[in-house]
Amino acid sequence: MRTYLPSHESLRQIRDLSTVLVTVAVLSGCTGGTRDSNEATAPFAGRTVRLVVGVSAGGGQDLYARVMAPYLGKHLPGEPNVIVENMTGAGGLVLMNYLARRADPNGLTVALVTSQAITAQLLNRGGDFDIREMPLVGSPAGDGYACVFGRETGMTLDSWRRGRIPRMGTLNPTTPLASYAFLVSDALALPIRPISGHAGVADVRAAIGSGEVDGLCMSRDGFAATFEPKEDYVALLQAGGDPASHIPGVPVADDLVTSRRGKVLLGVADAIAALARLVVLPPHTPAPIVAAMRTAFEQTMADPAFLAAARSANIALWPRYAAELDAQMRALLSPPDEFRDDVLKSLGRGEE
Amino acid sequence: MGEGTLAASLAGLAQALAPSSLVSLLVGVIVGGLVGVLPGLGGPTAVALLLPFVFDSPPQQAFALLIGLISVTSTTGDLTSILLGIPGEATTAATVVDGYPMAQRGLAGQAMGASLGSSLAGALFGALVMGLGVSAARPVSRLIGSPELFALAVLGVCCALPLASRSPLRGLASGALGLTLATIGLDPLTGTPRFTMGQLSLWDGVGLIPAALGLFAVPEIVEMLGARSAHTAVPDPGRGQFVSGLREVGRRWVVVLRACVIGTGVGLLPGVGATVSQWLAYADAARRSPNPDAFGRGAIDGVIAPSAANNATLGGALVPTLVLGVPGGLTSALFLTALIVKGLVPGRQMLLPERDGGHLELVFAFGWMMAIANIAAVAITWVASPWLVKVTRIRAAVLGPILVLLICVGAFSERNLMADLVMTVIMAVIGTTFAKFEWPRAPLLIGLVLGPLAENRLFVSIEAYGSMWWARPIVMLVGVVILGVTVHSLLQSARRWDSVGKPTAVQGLMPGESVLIAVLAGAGIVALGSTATFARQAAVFPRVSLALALTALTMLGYRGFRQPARAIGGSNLHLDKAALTATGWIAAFVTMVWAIGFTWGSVVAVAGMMAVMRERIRHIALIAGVTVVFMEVVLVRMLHVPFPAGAVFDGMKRLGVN
Repeated sequence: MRTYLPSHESLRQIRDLSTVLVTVAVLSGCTGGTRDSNEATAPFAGRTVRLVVGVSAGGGQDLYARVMAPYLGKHLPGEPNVIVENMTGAGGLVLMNYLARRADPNGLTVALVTSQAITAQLLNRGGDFDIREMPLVGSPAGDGYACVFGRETGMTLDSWRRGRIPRMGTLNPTTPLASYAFLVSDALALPIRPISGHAGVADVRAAIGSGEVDGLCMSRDGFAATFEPKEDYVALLQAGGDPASHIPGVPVADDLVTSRRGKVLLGVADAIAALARLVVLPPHTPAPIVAAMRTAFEQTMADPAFLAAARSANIALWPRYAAELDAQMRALLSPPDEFRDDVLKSLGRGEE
Repeated sequence: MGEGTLAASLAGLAQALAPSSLVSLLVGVIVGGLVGVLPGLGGPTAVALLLPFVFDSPPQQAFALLIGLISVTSTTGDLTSILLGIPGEATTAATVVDGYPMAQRGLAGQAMGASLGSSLAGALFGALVMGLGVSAARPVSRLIGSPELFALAVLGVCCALPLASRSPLRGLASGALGLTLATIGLDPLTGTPRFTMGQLSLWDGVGLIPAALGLFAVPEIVEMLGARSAHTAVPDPGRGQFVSGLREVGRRWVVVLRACVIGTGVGLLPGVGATVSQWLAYADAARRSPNPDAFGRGAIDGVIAPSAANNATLGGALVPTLVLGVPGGLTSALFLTALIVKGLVPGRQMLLPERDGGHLELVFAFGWMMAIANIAAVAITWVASPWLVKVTRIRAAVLGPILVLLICVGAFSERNLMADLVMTVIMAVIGTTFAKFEWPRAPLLIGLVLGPLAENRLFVSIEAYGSMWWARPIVMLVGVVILGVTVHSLLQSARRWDSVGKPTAVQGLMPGESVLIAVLAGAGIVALGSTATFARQAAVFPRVSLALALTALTMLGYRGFRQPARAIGGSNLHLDKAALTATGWIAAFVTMVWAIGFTWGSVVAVAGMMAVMRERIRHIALIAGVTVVFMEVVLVRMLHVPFPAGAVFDGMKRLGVN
């Protein structure tokens, strides 16, 4: 058996090879040089902006990014090409850590992140990032949530309040599905028996169908868009989000809560839903770039062509902007001192 | 079939045969075929890229494009598995086990013919089940809960027993190692990070693509680079072999039918896909074969069964996707998104004809499109087969570096994470070592695939139903089948022992094998110790799988000391200086890519490998140029694969060096 250690002949080959590599390098350098020369004139012109999403392709979050990307590019100075990139892992926390530690703050990386990152930061799990250091651009759509049950379970709000314990399908702790269930349960003193470990909302819905669980607390938009036929399900509670998208006839949780503690817990659930889709930039992004990105985002949200594309893709819009989102996010991360332990205990219930 | 259903089916056929649909379908078939051939770049990647086109196209054309694409990725992925020994998709890893040895023996054409024929049969069977099964999906789904899924996962693990019939203890150790690796990541119940070593990239566990590439592809490349002449002696098979492969499919219709039923049945289960069904079909074929020892060495049934199953799965998986909105796998999840984007919400509407406000005609059109797409794929491959087979005749000095490049790209692009490259290298070390010592690799991958399903479903079952979770008719029925399969496998093993008057199983240890056992046992003990920090529920599954692994390793070690050492000659790998050099090149390749980025790292590594293997300079120049174009134009610009710049360039940027 021969080994492939360098000999005189191969040294000659390596010399020739370096000639090849230099040639290829020069050829490739031609295109790279063009990119660099543009950098001086405008941050975006002739460049490619990456809109990074922390979930895999095809999900709801990814869909927002893919619909939004071309219009965001159209409204940025220089009309750069905006491409969507998926950086999955740890429920979006890989992306958060990438933004905090490695992404260049040059405007060419922008991210669509979920409120799960904020919950993880609140619970101090998931790495070394502070979302408050990431300039907010906006949110194409916040969300509300609803507690939904299989109609065949015969579950009613009255029976729930009287102490009937429903089996609630949830995912991992810190996912919104788990957070909604725990916070609503604690805020309104409604008993639940969490059945965790499901793979996703569709999995829980199948579990409702087979009678394995009774219901779940989930995104209201998701319920409206994907739970069919509606007569198989009954929504008993809802909260948060755009008042215009409330489900008619379903009680709003905030109207049922009386204690201050309960209001704080529901406020956290509302914020988790409202901050479901945040467009952010890496820390230390220069102010002019942040301003340009925010302007482009606002123009995108008002662009009739984008609105038509969103309608065509069946995605709901409830655009909100940096100042409002920033206040809500900081409030979520800093619950009142006297209830901080209650919030953390409720959010961390699944980890017990 | 009722009159209304027949009318809807014919209307669906008309929709599928509309010129605009056919054109979109053909585009999907071509894109899907190419994506399927490239290792690691799977149907999900392509579907994600095509989603924007779905927004703007009429529903019929949009779905024709998507179905054309997702229907053929497994078909062409099987060809990569056969020709190169590299799984084109995670769903085609099982085809490597016998397809590649066939190609090495000069039977690439026959293996391709058999694979394509059985893929077509699988796809047609899946399409038929989809057409007929949609109306039954809702009532049947009510009978399938977590206990049933747990029982089926255990059945899958038991079905893998014959894959290790020549060395059951090694098979058990391999499977238990797979189950243990499957517990890496966040515990699904409590969210406890397990064996993640502080790495966020491990929170989601070990990716199936890095695992499949590392376990199955790299050992073949190590061998090819070590032996250097692996492919050059293969004669040109011609079309005759291709036809004979197709004929074999007809002759072995029972194997095909069983694989189709397994594939479609697995597809019907929510959350389980072709990554599982291919192995179940393979194991079933091995278990029922009169010559199970031929499996792993080029048995044609080992090509036919997984090829039929992975294609049949899609038809099955679309049933719960369309009727219940519960996708069977990632590809059907993306298809579900496309449905919702087009305003088609899965549910009863899918079962109603258009005159009643439903979409039954479209559902039938999907089935017809799947069938047409696969017929087109087989026809195209038939035409291209003489050229495809020539791939196996490329010199190792040219093919090897290109394959390493494709493996790196495939491993990275599943999640766009460099950590997956590191995982590929780790799995490659395991795979190469296992191949060297003749440890079965398939049980490890099966454990990795089925482990999370089994663990999740067991705990959901206990939480939802309490201690009597098993007292359900289907669970008990599957329990009986599990018992039957296990006893049958053990009896078959014992019978082979008796028939030749001495054990055919691999008994004694090879020189150096005790080191492998000691290393694995040491790692297992350390891992077992670290479970002390896990939450109570989170620790159960890792402890059980580690206990299984340690038991098997202890017994192996004990036997090894009591029985004479076996010769190393039986191995198909040569752990000599050349193979070590080849392994070193692969590690250097990954290091280069990490240091100076994918494009430049690949160019330097590919050209460097070729130069040291004394390839001609003009060939090196050509391949280097093609590499740059492939990386920069195809992957970066067209497919938007976000390659990192490289640690050196990152470091320079941080230091302010431009």
